[in-house]
Amino acid sequence: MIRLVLRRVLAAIPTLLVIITLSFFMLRAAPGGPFTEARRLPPQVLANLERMYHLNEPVWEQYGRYLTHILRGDFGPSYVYRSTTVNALIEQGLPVDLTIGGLALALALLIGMPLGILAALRQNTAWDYVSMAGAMAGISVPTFVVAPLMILLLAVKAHWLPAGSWSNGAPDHLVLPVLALALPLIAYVARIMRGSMVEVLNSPYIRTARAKGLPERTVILRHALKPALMPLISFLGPAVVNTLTGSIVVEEIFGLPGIGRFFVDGALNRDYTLVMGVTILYAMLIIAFNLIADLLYGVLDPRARQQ
Amino acid sequence: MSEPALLEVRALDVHFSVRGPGLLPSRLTLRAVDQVSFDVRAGEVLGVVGESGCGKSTLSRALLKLIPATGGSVRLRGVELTTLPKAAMRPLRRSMQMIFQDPLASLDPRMTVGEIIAEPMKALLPAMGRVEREQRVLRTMQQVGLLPAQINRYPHEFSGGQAQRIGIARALVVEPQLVICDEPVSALDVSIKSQIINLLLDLRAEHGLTYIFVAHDLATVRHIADRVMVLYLGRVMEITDRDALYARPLHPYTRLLLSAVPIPDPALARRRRVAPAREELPSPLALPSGCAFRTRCPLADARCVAERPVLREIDGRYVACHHAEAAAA
Repeated sequence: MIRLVLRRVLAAIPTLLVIITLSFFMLRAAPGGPFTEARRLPPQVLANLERMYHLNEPVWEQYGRYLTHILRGDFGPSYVYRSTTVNALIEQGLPVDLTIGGLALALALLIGMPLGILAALRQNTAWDYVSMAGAMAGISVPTFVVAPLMILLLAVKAHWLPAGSWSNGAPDHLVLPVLALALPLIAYVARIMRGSMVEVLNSPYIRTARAKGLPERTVILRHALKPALMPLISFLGPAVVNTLTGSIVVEEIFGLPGIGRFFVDGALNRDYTLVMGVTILYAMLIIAFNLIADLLYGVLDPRARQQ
Repeated sequence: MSEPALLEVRALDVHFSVRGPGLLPSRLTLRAVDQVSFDVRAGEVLGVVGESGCGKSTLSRALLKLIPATGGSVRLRGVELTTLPKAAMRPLRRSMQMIFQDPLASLDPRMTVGEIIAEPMKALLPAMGRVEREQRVLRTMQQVGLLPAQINRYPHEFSGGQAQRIGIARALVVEPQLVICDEPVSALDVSIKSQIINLLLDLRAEHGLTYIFVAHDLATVRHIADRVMVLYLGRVMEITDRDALYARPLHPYTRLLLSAVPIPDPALARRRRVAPAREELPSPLALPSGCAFRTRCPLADARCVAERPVLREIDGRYVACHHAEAAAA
């Protein structure tokens, strides 16, 4: 177990290096720079700015400098949000994403799993069809449609909830963004859960469990649930990261100060360090959650424990 | 025939409703088990044979109510099972256990051998203490030829034959009277096959067990069965004592099956009059009229098309064939 974690962490280093290198040079290859876009600066000012941020040096030197900074955990200064660092932006934005993302995930598991399991147990009944059709709708209707609709109905018309803004994570401000983020997730979780549960329930060892004379509840909870969770875990590894990071649309609609907005702003303004910082953060999250998913496999299935 | 049967099955039907072909499919009825009647006496081994798709596995699962029967009756020591609610059925599962075909797939890969074998006791003998349960797990493991040290291993660490021993231990640990063996050796190598069959015979002698032993070939059944029931497309063709069946099969289908048993001596094999099957197995969705076997039967005539032969007694044997007397004579 410990050896596995160590090996995977070590294997993550070259992966990260490749990601850093690729995104570094792809960003530099994109036309324009952080200070060329918006309004024309006097040449003298531009030269000063570039010197200040070492943008006048050869690219290789910049790359080497960036790597050494990263090793110290320093993502550098932001070019667009002047006078603040990328680290500070991440520290400021990440809690917002973790809060709404974490709550949305919890909601998705809490609602989606029982929904899917029940649909599997009542396979091909009205319950199954209705909940799965609902799930399909939840997946198909994009967030940028659902979220404004929710704002229109629940905030603007009914005045039950605030229409947006963070206000330091006040609970009533969280409800709508979390719901908007959770809706497609609930749907995915329910569908995956139903599919895997149906498959597991048809497997020979479930037949054995029934032939043993076990009550149906024991058959489901003790024999069927664990293996049925496996596909969900493979889905959740990347899905957790997507939810934590990919809430850009929700952040934008509800006006939340999350990382996603920095990412978009940074990309549009060629804010090299900001885009790099967020990219590296995402990459590390993806690697970490895939590792967690793999470790969970071992917990759930002794056959996966071998190496 | 004096003692009452342990298990009485009468006119058992297991029909499935399946989708027909086409864009607007109609529901078709698949008669997996069709009007099957037989008795199992305490202490005997009843072999059940037939080609794949003849309803052997469906029948054995329906006996244990793993699949609901659509008609007929199954009685265990006089207690009707088909109408019994789930909760009332549970205590009876102590008396009826099952051994499955694919030994490895039938075991939960997430449980240790000890947990697998102990679980039926937890469900069916809830009053039993932990220490006693553990002792019985170890005793049963020893009886089926597993080592006590293997108690904390997982199923995937075992070979097929060993896994089937776990399956047998799991079935026997609640001390059932009737064990339904659904092709327990079909997935195993020949050498392992005979080991498992001998183990089943030893266990039967030790515990006075009754087996329903399902197999797809007559050769395996010959080693273990006292009586043999031949199924074809969900119907009983013949039920006879083993020796009588092998010496003088009354049903043409039994003869066909016997001709498929390999004969080790090539000289003898050449002398066998082979009656090859005339046609493919008909679809169980569209059974032939009259006798189900008539499309492949060398003796088939107009009566076989018109009239379904009932299972009747001839010389103490049961045969469903209009021409059985001719074969008996």
